[in-house]
Amino acid sequence: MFDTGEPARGAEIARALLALHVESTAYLDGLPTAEFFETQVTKWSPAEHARHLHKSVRPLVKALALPRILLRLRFGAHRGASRKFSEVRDAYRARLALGYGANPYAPSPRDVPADADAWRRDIMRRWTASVDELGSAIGRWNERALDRYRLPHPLLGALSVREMLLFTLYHNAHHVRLVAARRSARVLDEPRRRQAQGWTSSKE
Amino acid sequence: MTMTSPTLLLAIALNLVQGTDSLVARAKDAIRPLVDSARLVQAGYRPLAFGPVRDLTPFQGQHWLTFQRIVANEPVDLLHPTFVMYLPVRDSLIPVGVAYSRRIGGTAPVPTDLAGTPTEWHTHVFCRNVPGEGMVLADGVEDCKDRGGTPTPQQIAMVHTWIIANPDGPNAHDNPTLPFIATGLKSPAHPTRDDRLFAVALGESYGAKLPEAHRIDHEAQLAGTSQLLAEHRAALRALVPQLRDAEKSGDKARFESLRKKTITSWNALLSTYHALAPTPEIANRLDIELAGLISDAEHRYP
Repeated sequence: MFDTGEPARGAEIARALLALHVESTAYLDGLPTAEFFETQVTKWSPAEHARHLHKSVRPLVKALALPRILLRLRFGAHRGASRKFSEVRDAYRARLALGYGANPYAPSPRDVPADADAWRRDIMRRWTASVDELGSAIGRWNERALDRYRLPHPLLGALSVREMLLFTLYHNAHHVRLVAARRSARVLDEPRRRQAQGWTSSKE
Repeated sequence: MTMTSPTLLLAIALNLVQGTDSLVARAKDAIRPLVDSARLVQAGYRPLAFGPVRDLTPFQGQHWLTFQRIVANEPVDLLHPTFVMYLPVRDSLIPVGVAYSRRIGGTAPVPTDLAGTPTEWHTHVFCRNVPGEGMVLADGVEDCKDRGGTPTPQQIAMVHTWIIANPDGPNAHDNPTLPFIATGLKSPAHPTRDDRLFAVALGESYGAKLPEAHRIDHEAQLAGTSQLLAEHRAALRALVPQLRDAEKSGDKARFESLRKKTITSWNALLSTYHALAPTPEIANRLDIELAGLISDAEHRYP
């Protein structure tokens, strides 16, 4: 599930982002609203993962829309070829293993409002809009430019724009996989959890 | 009162016609306010593209889509299609049709009607790891598997409604009249295989290409070899005003001669596409797309 492949070209990355998003939203749409907002094993809820992904993608969309001269002046030029998808992924995994401090893109704590369904739709709509805009923004970048400009990443340092897009693809998949893995673990653990809470019915 | 078989058939046929007429009328209502790109963007549509590779095909024009509505997967609303289709001619967008879609699971049944009218839907699926092609948008799960790829779990089922005359039918997959409209030529009432091939050739004169041709063109631009393709297209573009003049003057022999020249020029372009295709699989796919488009049997829906 939530396979990304190993895209390299801008068109391939855009296609992979959209395909992953269609798969991710179909999966999340299948969760009951209560579960969508429920914390998973003391970690983020699926809703918080979606909000985090929106919050992470948004600045990239804005950066890709800026005049490139501003990016060059602010963040410098990228030298040489960009790393491949697997190299960016491995660098991120290695960095995660070292631990990290406060995440500036973490979703802010919010209580679930009375109309939970409306908020859920809003979260999904915003996240979809950011992914859609990112897909469109990639179209304005030619292959050469993807390797020549760079952007700062809070954990990985300066990345070429292509590397940042590859990271974003992996990062989106990573979070939806976390939701699915924690959900599977919870489903497998459900009988024991119920038993511990005295919910066992005569049939179980 | 009992209904005889011919009467029953006539009643069914009449219902079908009324149904499709109604669908076309609703599609016209839906697209009417979307008169230019600014209105389209305001309404949440954007041109279909994967990165820098833009959509514009000979028999479907250019799709504009609302990704929000595709992802939200709400029931079909005839007045809010997920796709609207245009023919870009010079600086204008000529509305030609709409498409409705549903996101369905890989093994889920494909819809068979549109607002109660029987219609033929088609499917698309993102297909990963296709040998020689990478990730592609395949024509359904079977097409993906046939190409050696792995389909993603969700398919997009789609149905078109054409708001302009279409000899293949108002809900057909393709509309072979589009290149004739775009180039100002008369469209044949019942396009043959040769007419369709001629139409595909005309498409290249205004940028409409088979999907795989778009891909090869993009790769050629990156490799610095796109000039080879541009030369053939320039030859096709030069033929269009001559074709118009011959048609206008009623000079059938000249028109026929120019038409043959157009197809010959397009065949030369096709050979160049083959030569520039980055992999044999992509070259082969181009041939499959072409065969599907010009076949007399493909995509002919009532």
